[in-house]
Amino acid sequence: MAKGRKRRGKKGGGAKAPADRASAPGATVESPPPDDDEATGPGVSEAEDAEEEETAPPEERELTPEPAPPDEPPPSPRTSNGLSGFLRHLHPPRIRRRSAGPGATLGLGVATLVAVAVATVSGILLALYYVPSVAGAHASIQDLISVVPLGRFLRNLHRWSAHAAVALCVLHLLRTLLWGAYRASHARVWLVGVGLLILVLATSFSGYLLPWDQDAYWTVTVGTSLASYVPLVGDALQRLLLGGPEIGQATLTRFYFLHVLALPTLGALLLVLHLFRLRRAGGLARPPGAAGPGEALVPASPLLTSRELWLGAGLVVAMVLAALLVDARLGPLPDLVRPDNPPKAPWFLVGLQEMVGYNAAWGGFAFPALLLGLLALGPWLDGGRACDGAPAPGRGRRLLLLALLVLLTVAVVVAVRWWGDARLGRASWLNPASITTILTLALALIGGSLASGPRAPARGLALQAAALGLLALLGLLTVVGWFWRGPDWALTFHPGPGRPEGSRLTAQGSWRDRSADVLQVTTPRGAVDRCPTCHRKPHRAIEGHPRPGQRGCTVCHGGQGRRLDMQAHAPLLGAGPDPFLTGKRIQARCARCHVPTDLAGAAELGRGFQQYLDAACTGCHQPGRLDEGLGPDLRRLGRRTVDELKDALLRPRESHAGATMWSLAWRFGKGGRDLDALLTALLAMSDPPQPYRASWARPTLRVDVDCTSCHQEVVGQRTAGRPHRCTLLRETRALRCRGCHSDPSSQVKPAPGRECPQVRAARPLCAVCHLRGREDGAAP
Amino acid sequence: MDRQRRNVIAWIGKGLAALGGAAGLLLVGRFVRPYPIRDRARELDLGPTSELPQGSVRHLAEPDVYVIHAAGGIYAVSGRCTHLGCSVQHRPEGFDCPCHGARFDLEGRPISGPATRPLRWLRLDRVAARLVLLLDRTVPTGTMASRPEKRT
Repeated sequence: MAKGRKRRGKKGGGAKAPADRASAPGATVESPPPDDDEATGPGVSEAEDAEEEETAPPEERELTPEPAPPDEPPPSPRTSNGLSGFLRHLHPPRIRRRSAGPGATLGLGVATLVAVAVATVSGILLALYYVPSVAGAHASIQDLISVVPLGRFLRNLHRWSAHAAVALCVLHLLRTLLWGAYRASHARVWLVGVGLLILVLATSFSGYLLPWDQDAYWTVTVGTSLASYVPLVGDALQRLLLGGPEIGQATLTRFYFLHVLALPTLGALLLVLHLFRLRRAGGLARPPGAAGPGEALVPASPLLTSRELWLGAGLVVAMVLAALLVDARLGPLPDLVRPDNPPKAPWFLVGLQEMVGYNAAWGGFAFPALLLGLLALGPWLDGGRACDGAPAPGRGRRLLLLALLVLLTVAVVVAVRWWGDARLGRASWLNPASITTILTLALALIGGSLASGPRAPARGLALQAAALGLLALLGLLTVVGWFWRGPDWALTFHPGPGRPEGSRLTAQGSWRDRSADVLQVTTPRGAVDRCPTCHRKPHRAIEGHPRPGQRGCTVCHGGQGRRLDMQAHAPLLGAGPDPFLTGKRIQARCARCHVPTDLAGAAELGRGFQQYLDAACTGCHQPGRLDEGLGPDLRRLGRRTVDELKDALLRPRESHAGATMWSLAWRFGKGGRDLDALLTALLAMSDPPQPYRASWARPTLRVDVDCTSCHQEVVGQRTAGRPHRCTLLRETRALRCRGCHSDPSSQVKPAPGRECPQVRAARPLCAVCHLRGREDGAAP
Repeated sequence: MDRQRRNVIAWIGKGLAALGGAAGLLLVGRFVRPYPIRDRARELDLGPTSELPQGSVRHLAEPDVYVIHAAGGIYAVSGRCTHLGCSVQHRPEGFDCPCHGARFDLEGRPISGPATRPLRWLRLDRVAARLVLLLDRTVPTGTMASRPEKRT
């Protein structure tokens, strides 16, 4: 609704320009309603076509002599054409002077429209590079950020304009609500506007999944699970959204479809309808009051449209600046078994997330339905006959709304702080969220009748108070959820969002256009590594290993090889799927293929594991133990920076709520080599080779990785006697080393000539292809 | 008369159009409704039972399932929170969901927080001293691994 409504205030002649282009089809639809614009005016029904200049307004009876507006253009001979003709049709040719004032609409409709237009244009451009597949989405956005010229800017612009659109949309709704501009003649404008609000939110949400990062994955998991709480059709709805039993490629395809095709198309149609209805309803609501100077009819064209133009231009500049200065966040690839802790929904859903934390059906269905129903039916519940379009007069009303807000704040604090979390038992329909909602409605009803007066009927007041109160409640809970939800959903002050929205752009060179000379290699595991773009010096090879330069740097150093911006170099992640490692910490990566203890050439790692044993970590942290495990499983450390890990060792109780571990400062002091080695060992443990996560704790460490990830020469070529071909199938295959070589991990040693050790059996060939189901996973 | 006839025809036309529209919607609905393709062998051989001594917990990341050998027997419990689908985290005393603070005991029964249903239990069979997990079969809470009478 937001968009349309603002328009009513002042149609953004100029500001709108991009939007118009975006909704070009609308133009044709919109132009037809030339007449009637003034129908609601005081009898001013000029039939003149808006598209023509408003020369000779037949009746300007109210036109007071006073400021013969200097801006009133002389009848211009131009005929309308194209865009300008469309723009003129958006407003009636002549409007009240007061309707054009900044206070009439606050310009929020135009502003929303501009934000949506910017998001549309940037989104269309982004679609050129985005790859809607689970395997390719995240990579394509990394490319966008670091390689595509201006890609990062456009992505930032898209995100910030989308956020602005949501925020402005809600503000536009609030303005219209409080100004009473939803009533009577504008009822249908309002109704379509509520539909637009839903569409804006849905488009934002569907866009949220597209990067396929950690935030996206878990937010959408939660969001689609919420759908299952809709009565009757819930499960079907959830499956419809997911495209299957769980989130996956089908989900991404569906969300992509929704985000770039279905919702924008529907939105464009509704937007046209919104503007059309607005024009039919007489344009911007006119403030009531006696005919005064402000009631004079003036041409809309230069006065209103130029103001809108300036507003729109200013907004565009602001969004461009934001896009230049602040990066939109791109999380790491999703960890499918470990959501962020604390998790944070996109900001406009945090209020609902908070409600959902009490009761999913309440926050996911009942409350949104209540709020949207109240909004959609507002004009009819209100029953007012006049659409005044200015804040209703009277101190009573202002007092009422203020009192409501204050009471509500107190209620929320009390409910959440002193009752909510202490209770936090089972989900119940009586919870802080629902109680405060009921309280809001009751207060609104009572207050409405108390504060009503001859010019402010009780129903209208109650409706406004109720709608405002529910939105304020959502806002308050958003604040609670954003700042006070710490790890494990604990109610502690947790300043700032758990996820920083992005880094400030301080790293030098991050805006350099490198697209012309990107050099990349493919790592053994198939990842893209672009480090050679800058790092061209030959690298010392490790004996027996493939030459580093040919395989990329990330094989050992980790990090995000796709990205070329400086952010990718920051050793932010100490643990997790792709930590960027330097110095001796690199040895943590050796454990991906080798048995980590006592590995020649990885003394630091061995030392770290010795510390791990000496410090008696295993006394409490017993991976895989049910009864005696006093501490968390060290294989599942989560994404922590090295500094956080260090903190957790030296000051465990300060850094972790509820931790019972004692500080290891008695052993390590404030740091030192032993501690560094232990950290390296912890990194190695938390990044075990995928197939063996489960058996990591056993004394006999066995690592089963695909040997060919490094030793590619072996495949099909390298022989230990005969060529690796299946004599039965008569075809060449990528053979599996495990088919012939038993337990390569313990045997692989740097050896000259890349001899592959220990052939398992005399006739290995059958086992090469006919592996039993899970052999490489579990069998000794 | 003529007018009446025209009215009737118009009504018939509208009725047909409505029918056609409804049929079209049904067909579209059929098209949009997802048709998941299920793998035939959705079972996982977890290896010899002896590898899972009493008191141990094993987490299978791929299907997100915890296999637990408690005093009462061996059972498999899904790691997906029944509240809103987040992945619960194992703690010595049970499972915590980081997303909205739901807590479960070690057998997956909700203790506190917004979840009302227990974590799903999956069927676990002992087949010739090995454990086999059936991913598509939910069993009632408390059903320990047993030798299947008839494998289905």
